[in-house]
This record gives sequence, structure tokens and C-alpha cells, in this order.
Amino acid sequence: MTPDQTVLGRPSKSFFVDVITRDLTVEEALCDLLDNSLDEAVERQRVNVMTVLASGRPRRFVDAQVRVTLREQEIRIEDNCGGISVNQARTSVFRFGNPNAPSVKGGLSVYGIGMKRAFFKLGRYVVVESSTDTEHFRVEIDVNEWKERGDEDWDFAFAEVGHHRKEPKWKGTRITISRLGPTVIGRLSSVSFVKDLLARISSSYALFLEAGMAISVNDEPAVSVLPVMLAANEMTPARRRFAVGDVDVLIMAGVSPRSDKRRHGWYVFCNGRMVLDADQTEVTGWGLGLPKWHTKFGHFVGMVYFRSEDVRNLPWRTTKQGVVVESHLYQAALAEMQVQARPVLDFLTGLYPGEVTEDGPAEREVMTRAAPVSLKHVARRESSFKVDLEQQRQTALDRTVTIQYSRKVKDIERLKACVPALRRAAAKRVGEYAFDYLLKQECGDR
Amino acid sequence: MSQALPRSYTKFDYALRPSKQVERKLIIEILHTLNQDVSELKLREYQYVGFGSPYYTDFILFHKYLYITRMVCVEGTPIPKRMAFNKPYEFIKLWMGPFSGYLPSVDRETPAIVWLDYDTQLSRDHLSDIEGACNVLPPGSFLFVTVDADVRVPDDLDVPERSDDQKTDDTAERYSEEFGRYLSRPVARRDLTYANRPLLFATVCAAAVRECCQRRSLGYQQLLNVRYADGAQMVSIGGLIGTKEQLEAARRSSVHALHFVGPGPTPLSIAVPPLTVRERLWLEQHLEGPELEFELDEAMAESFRKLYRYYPVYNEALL
Repeated sequence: MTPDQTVLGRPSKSFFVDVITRDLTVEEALCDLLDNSLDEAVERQRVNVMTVLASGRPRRFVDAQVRVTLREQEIRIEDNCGGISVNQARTSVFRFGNPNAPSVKGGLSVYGIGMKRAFFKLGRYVVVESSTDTEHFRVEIDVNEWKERGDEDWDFAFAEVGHHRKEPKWKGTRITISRLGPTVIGRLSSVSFVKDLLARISSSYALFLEAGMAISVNDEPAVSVLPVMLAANEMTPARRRFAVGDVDVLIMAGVSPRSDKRRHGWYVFCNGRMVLDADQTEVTGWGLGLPKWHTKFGHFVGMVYFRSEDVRNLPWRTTKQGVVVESHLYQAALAEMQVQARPVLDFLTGLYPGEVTEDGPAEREVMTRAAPVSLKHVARRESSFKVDLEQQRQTALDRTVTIQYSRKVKDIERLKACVPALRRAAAKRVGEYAFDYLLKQECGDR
Repeated sequence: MSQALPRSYTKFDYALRPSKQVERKLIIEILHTLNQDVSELKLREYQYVGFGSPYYTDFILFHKYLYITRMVCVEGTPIPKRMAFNKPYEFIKLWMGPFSGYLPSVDRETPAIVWLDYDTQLSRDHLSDIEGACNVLPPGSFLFVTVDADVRVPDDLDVPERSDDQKTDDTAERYSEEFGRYLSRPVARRDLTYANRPLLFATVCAAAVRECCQRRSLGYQQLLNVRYADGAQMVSIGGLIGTKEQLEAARRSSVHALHFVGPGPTPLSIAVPPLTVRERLWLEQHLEGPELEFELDEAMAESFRKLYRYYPVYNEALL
């Protein structure tokens, strides 16, 4: 008799429930669920949020909102973004990994893992209810019960499914998570959590918010936070748009206002979702193609936007934080980022000359006079970063500087006695005479 | 900034340095040979980007010998009027400012010949220029880089509190930090000698070019790696950035038959001696090398015999 030839390779549920949830923070898990809602809105309303930056006049979301409600024992995310169809729910939404191409073009769902991982990260009892124009369903997941069913049976069941008899009032999805994990309860009870989460949402989804999407946490609305750049006649931010395969890439680089105390860096977006926030590490080239990040570069603002109809072509990681550095696309962008950033960094370096001058360098003068412009209003023409310091430098040379020094009265009196032109002069005049005399002696006539 | 004062042209006429002129002609010869042998490379349609200085010597040569008319002169010193005044051809475009400021707007469609002809020692800023150029130049482009490779200490390390040996160590440490990722070991004192510094700088530049090309799935074929000294010792490297097919075509061409073209890491000396007219004529008549009839370093004479075709002849002209 031949012995059994099988070598076990099948996945275990505890890998999904207990292992891959470890790399994820509570905020990231909540954002994964938000992605789901935004995806539905993008699909229904065909809004491309890149147009916020690319044309300044985006097609806007109409009445699209996501409400996050955090209670001591329960998390609820509710949207009115159109709902999930029964067929999608049956065949793909609840599957681990996405066997087919993602259904939403230009959306945020990539790998078919984010939503399930978020469930497991946050709690042990999940109810997903959704309602479209024509149909509705409810799925209830008791995670412990599901896990105990063993590694053969991975499926979930509808608790309720059917067609609407009349046009429903609500078309959207509601996810309710309870039996929260102890770390989650700990995070939620921290005073700063709601504030942190709102800040995260305000930057991660800034472009969605700009395009009219409403997101709130415990009824407090998130407000888009996009960095501003300086622009003036003497200063033009860099802007370059190009394609790598079917991916649209937009790069902007410039300088934030002097009054802006935030230390910036590179902001990277994939299909509207921010995946790197003010990055100052090697991931965006600092210390590699660019000099190491330094506080003197705090005013550098760089923006990279990737967009593709096929989300799989974008360089995002499964957590949607950070980028896949090795990807060919990202390397191509990185090369361009370095070239565009260099003149900005040269400018910022010029702000801090080795010697202290009385009036400050021309760079500082230009920076003070330039006006802050929101990223969406940066002139939409291709340009490299340009600064015209010539005028500043010229006027700087014609300006006068006060030189002050002290000498003994008896020496000044001696000098006045020896130089007839100074006989009745004040000390100030003596000083000026001394300078002019030295200038002529040492440098000769002009 | 990449091009710091003082510029060496303020000291003497650029065109009159014999080794520098030999170098220019070697580059012309390399490009000319490839132009003839490799039909895909149509150099007359290329753009040339260089640091002309008010003499524009390289621009005149590149136009006259290679027929290039798309030319951009990058000048870091604030002398816009002087640069415009001396422009030998209308079609040369001037860009005032450092190369790093010009690079973002360089034409990405037209293959280029770029010569970063610095007169300062290799620095992190220069490397960024090199990396930047390799990041954006289209395949089929040529990049040449020249840097000062004399024995010097970077200005900010040249402080009276430190002894000469300490300053050398400080320099080695600085270079290890700035160039380390392109070197297999830290920079040591022996790398900074007159004999070895050109090798150090050439190695770093070539590695930077190779790495950037590789990231774009392109290759780099070195064509030039030379050292010379008219005053300060200089080192120049350069070659073709291209696709596999372009590099293969260049490899099959007769460019590699030129004795000064080589892929090796060690810079070849192309220093030629200043000679009187009689000496030069005598040497040209005796290329096979009988005993010299005047005092001249044998190595220099040998170098002249290899490079006499490129040796410049200067006469006084009353204009």
C-alpha cells in the first residue's frame, strides 16, 4: 500500500485572524473600512479625485457621506455611497484575496484583504448590512464561531437577503463591529483617539474631502488638509505630469510659507488616497538621490500622485501605508522626484548662508513676499521650480548697512586734530571718513 | 551650488591649455567614430548641454565637427551679459544658474550629449547632478563628467587647528560618507594621493552612472576615462547611456579600436607637454621614437607620440 502522498499547504484561519492583523494599527483598520465606502462612491459617481490637482475643477461627489461612530463597546461605519450588490457580496467582497480584477476602476480596493483584516483586528462580532437601489442583504460574522468551524469551511452566510419592494430610502453600507479586542478598547478610550483619527482622515482623504465627500467621526467632520506652496512672479513651483504605462503620474514641488511651522516632506497619493505623509526618509530619496533630510528643508513640500484605472498597477502596500519601493513605476517616479526637488533644496540651502548678514539673503526676501497658494490652485502648466533672485540681489547690493564700533575718545580727538576735514566733525562722521579712507587706500578708485 | 567661484577661465584662456584641448578632440573623435559606424546614432540631431564659459570652445568644436545646432550653455556665475555677448552662434541657448536648476526642464525626447565640465573637486552636489542627468536623459545619450582631482582638502575642512595628516583623514571620512554607497570599502588616505585620486573619483562617477541606468533598465558603456594636468590635475569619464541594442551596436563599432577608449577603471593619462614649434615638428618627424635630441620626460614624449593628431597648434594672429 502506498503511503499518503499529501503534504498539507492549506491556510489556517488563525493566520488571518491573529497573524496578519498584527502589522496594522487601529487607525489603519478603520481607514481600510473607509476605503470600502469611498470605493462604492467612486464607482457610482465616477469621480476622479486627481482632477482636484490636475484641473482644479473636479467632478464632485453629490451627497456622499461616511459616518464613523465610536462607542465604548462598538464601532459603526455607515455610508450612503450606493451599497454593495448581492452578487458582489456573494462572489467577491467577503473572499480572502481577490481572484479577479478589482471591480472598481480607479478605486481603492486592491488586494481583497483590507476589509476582512480590519474586522479581525477590531472585534469578534461583525454585522454588514447593505442596500442598493434594488436589493439588500445582511451578513453576521461571529469570528470565534467561524474560527472553530475549522479550516475546511471558510464561507459566511447571509442572515437576510432579498429585493426591495419599493425604492429604498437608504442606499449604502453599514458595518457594526462589537466584542472589541482589549487593545482596541484601550485605544478608543484614549482622549486623543478621535482627534488623531480625524487628523489622519483629513490628510489621507484630503482629495476626497476636497471633491465633496463628507466624512465624520462621532459627528465631528473631517476637514481636508492639503499643504500650501508659495508662488509669486519671482517663484514658480515645479509641476510635471507624465505617464508610466497606464499610470498617470503628477509631481509637484515647492516651498511652504514662512509662517507654516509644520515640517514637510514628500506626500504620496495613490488614486487619491495618501499613502505617505510628509515623508523625510530614504523611501522618498532623502539621503540617497537627495541630501539627508535636515530641518533647513522643513519648508520643502513635494507631492506625488499616481492614478490608474487598474489599481493593481499602483505601488501601494497591503496596509496602504508606504509604497512598494522596488516597483518599476515607483523607481521611475523617484528619479523624477529627485530631479524636480533639487532646485527647491538649493533654494532652501541658500536661506541659511554660512555668514550672518544684516538683511538676510535674497532667498529670504523672495520667500517673505511670495503668496501661499493651495495645491489645487498651483498653476496648471508644466514648469520646473524657478526663482528669480537677481532683482533681490541687485537691490541688496545698493542697500546700506550700519557699521558700529567704539574707540577711545582721546584717539578720536587725536584723529580730528590731525585731519583738517574732521576738525569739527561728530564721531559718526569720523567713522564714515575712516571707512572711505580705507576703501580708497586699499581698493583704489572705482 | 555646483559651479563655485573662482572659475579657472578667469586665470587663463581656456582654449590654450594643450591637454584640455586634446581631451576635447578625443571626445569629438569618439563621437565622430560612433556617428559613422552606428547608423542609429544621428548625432547632428542631438542636443548638446555644456558649461561653455565665455570662450564657448566646446560649443564651437561640437558644432563644427558634429554639426550640432541644438545647444544649451549652462553658466553658474552671474555674468549674463558677458555670456550673451560672447555667444558664437545665435542658436545657442543660455541658461544662467546651476545645472541642477536647468535639469528639470531638459528636453526628455531628444538624445543629448551632456558634458559636466566642472573645475572643482567631486562633491555630493556634483554626484546629484550626475544622478539627475542619468535619471532623465533619453537612451542613446552621452554623458561626460570632468572634475578636479588634484590633492586638496575641501574648503570647510581646511582649518588651521588640524594638521595636514588630520585634514587628509577628515577628507577621507567626508568622502566615505558622501560617496560610500558607490564604493566597496571606505576611502583611505592612499586613495587621496595625486596618483590615486583620479581613480577614486572616476570609480565613484562610473558607479553612480551605472546604478542610475540600471534602475531605468538601461546600460552604460564607458568610452572615456582619462586624466591630465595643464595646471590642476583633472579626471574625465564618460560614455553612452543606452538600451541593450544601442550598447551592442556601439560595442561592434570601431570606436574601441581607438587606443584611448577603454572600459577599465583606471584613468589613462593623456597629459601632453608644452612644446616649442621645433620640438613638436621634430617629434612628429620621429614618431617611431629614436633618442630625444632635447630634454623631455620620456613618458611625456611617448604620450605626445600617441596623441600628436590632437595636439593643438597656436600662433599669434592679428585680428
